[in-house]
Amino acid sequence: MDFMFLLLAYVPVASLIIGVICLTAFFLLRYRKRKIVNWLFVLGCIGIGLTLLVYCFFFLVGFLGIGPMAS
Amino acid sequence: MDNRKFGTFVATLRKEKGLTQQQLAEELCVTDKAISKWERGLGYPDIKLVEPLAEILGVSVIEIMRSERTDEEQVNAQSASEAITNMIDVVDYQRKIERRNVLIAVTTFALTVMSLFLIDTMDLVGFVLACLPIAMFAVGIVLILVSVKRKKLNLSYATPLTLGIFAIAFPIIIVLLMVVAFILGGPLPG
Repeated sequence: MDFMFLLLAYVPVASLIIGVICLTAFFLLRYRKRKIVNWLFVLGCIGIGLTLLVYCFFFLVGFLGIGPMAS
Repeated sequence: MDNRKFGTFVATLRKEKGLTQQQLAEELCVTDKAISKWERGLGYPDIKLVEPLAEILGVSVIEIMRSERTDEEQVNAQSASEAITNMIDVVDYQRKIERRNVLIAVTTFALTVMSLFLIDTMDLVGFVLACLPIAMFAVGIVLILVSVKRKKLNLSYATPLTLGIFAIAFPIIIVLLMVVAFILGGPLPG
């Protein structure tokens, strides 16, 4: 259970890291005028988006005071 | 009034007179961007500028408003009435622009006041996180519209479409997660 919790807790962090790496790779390739890999851009946006989604969700849940969380 | 016809007419007369857009703009005390906008059929000059514009381009006001050359002697009731109708179109267009500007100003003011109130209530980071779903939804709509436009122009549209779908999914997922959280826990006692 602890391992599962740890895994879930690190999903947004891992997603942010993957997102930043993908976006950096995309802009690096673009800057060096190599092939433009669109899926890197999409993956980067999804990675960063997932992190934002999780933070946004936890903020709203906390702000509105809903959910099974300790006060 | 046909805005493209008007734009082409102004561009032709300007070129005949050997004027650049910049020179014409300086004579009329407007920007060269405004001249370019008229010539591309994206807008009309202010009604007060029609007379000086006709004077600079060496035509009559009726010719400008009809967007075609007419012999002075041949100005009949029909062409005069057409010119007046076109003038009314220009005034209508300007009223629409003015109404749009007022609407933009009022909306911006209301959004600014609301934002300041929200920032005061839930600090800046909280405000950004609370507004994020709304912003993502708007971005999603824009991206999908961009992809539709690109498809019509036979350009690649997969990337904006994919990102648009994900952006629209963002607020939907947030709402679904909050519903689940509410069902699981319910509101906390104050």
